[in-house]
Amino acid sequence: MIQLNLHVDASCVSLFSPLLEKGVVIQTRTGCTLRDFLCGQLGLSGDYLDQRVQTLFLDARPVDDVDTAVIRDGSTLALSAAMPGLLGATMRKGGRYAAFRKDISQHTDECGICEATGRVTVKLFNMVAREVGGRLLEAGVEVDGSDLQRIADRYPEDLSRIIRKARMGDHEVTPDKSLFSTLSKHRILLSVSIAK
Amino acid sequence: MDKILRIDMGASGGPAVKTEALGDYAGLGGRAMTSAVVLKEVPPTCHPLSGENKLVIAPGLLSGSAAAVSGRISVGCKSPLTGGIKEANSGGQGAQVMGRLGYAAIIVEGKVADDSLYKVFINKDGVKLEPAGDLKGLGNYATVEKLSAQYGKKVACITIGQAGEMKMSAASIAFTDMEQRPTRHAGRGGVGAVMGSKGLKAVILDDDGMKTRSPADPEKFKAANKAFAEGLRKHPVTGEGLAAFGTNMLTNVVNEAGAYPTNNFQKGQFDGASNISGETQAALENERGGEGSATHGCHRGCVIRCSGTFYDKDGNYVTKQPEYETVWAHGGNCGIDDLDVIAQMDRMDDDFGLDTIEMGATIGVAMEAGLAEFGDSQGAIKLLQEVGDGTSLGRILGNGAAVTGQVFGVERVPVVKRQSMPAYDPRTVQGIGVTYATTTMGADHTAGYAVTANLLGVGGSVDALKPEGQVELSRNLQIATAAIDSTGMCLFIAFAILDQPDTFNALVDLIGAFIGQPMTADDVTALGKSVLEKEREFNLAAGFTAKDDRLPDYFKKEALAPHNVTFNVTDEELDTVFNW
Repeated sequence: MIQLNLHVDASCVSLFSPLLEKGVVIQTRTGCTLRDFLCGQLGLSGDYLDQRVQTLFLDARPVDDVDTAVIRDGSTLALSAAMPGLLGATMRKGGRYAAFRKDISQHTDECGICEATGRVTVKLFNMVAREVGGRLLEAGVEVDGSDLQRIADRYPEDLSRIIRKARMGDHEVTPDKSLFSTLSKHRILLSVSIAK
Repeated sequence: MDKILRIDMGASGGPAVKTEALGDYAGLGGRAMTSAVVLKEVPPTCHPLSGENKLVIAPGLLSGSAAAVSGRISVGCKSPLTGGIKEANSGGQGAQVMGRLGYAAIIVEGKVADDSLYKVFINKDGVKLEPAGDLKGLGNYATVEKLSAQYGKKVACITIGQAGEMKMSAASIAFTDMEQRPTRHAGRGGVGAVMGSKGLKAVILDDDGMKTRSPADPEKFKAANKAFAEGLRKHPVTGEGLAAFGTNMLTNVVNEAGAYPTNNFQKGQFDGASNISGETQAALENERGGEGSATHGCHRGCVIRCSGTFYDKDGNYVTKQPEYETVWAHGGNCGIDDLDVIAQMDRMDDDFGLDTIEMGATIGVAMEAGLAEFGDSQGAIKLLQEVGDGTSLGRILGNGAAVTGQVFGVERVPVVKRQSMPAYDPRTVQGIGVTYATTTMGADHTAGYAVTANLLGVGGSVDALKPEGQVELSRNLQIATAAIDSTGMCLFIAFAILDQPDTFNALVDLIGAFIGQPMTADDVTALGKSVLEKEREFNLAAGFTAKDDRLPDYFKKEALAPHNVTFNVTDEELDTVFNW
């Protein structure tokens, strides 16, 4: 895996949001509840989780109770703010219309909790991506080089303005189109921080 | 709104208009009005394109007033698509302008004896009906451009495009927006075909010199309206999420749930979803800029502003921001993940005057039939162009997914009562499947897309986690939706009044202050039930039976990935939805 650190202009962090929509992988402690994972490891406040994050999917299953659902090695967790419409109401945690999707709801994990480490894919949507994404990207996430290249391809003329400094491993590199083309076939351990 | 305008297109001596008092229809608005007129005046067994059918256009009860988000307008008739009763509703300027002109309904009846076209102009001085041969064969954009040149840039237009003139079952009726563009549509059920069958091309509404409708209790109304609007603005969905990302913010979430119908309902997740999500769409629109790009209202008085304006890469206007259902229909359902292509098809739909949901579903069926490959964006555009051109193939496609599936021998045709399903797979979200199956309208997401049934007290409180809860919930939602559809309120108010009791109270006070008598939950329930009962009565008389309240069989047999679920609500359960 190639380690890539990008220092970007503060106004440009959101350009990396497509990575969060598609899902980024993090190495983490698993075998804990979603609340432990999100608050203890990703640093969300309890209030933010309870109030702002209204819709969660664990392995594509809507979650009703963040205190009983357990994160495991290989899990995919998606977080969203409240959604409009009947579908939005249906997918909300503990929502009034949960019966509408009872066949796919996440059920209480009965395997028992055991501490371990593993890889978890995290997806962030809409307002949650805006509010939490920067922190997650700064901490470091694993992504596909091809997804990074897709973002670079959208702004071929602006890369040097967007990315103030780039380091690959121990070496400083030029953040141009050829760099992202080179990386496109690799897994990347990416961190994105705001240039001072 | 104290009068009804009747336009008799089949009157001897040529089309004629007359204005009359509300009579039995007093106190009705929106869907309550359209369904009452259709039940009372349209023979249920008539041919939908015959002179016996009637087209009813009715603003909501609060439309034309200063009430926030009250600019929805209903269009009703016997549907050429479903053969049953239809109410399709739209945003745009039509509701507010018609409300200020004082008309609770325009009822178009009869039909012209030949293939001539007419337009009707309505202002404070009265009504003028004139030949409109110069508009024949024009799309909605060109039609409105001509009308604008004649009547000015402030009028609201209600028009049909080529699809309506050709009487296609997927034809919509366009309502102009704040920029006088024909971007808002009463889309579902072929209402445009009924307007075309009458020989009516356009209705032009000019409210110059008219005042905003006055509430019965102005002080209470003003206070309640302020509290209601503030409630909408402070809620994360209505005040933040919808404005930032539009309705298309649903794409990622529905896809994550495995409920995103992909490649004609073959799968529940689309690999290209993030390329067409609301987040991506908003980023693209913000990047391209332009007036009203990522956040815009569809009518004056909207505080939610879930719409936007889509410009191409060179900054040229293409269409309004395609909403979630459209992005899905022309996108994931056809395997297409290019927002520019989807916007182009949205523009074509709006111009030809076609329901985007029906056309996306139809092209999906056509792709399954082999007329194009899934993901072939140019192939999809070509099929849509055939519809606008009125070729033989286009005539088939323009009559919807059911006809197309029948003609090309496709089994997987996602329709109920011959109307295409919207953007949620009923196997994954079975409660929505209950609504698709049983609604009087044919598969319809808005028929259960509201609102706080429990909060309103409709049908009492239901334990949502009980397995059988979905039938009760669907019933309550359909009752509540029918009531809200009658007020002219946008259904997106749902979250704010669900989550914020003070906003719910403000809404109740708002309606009460406007009509001059307090509203209660019982009133809401009674209104919603009465609308549904009328619609059921019409459909029954038109020949519908319990067998029409079913999903296509394949939803019970074909398991949908990724959850591998089939639709398992029994027929017996479906048959209890309207037991109250």
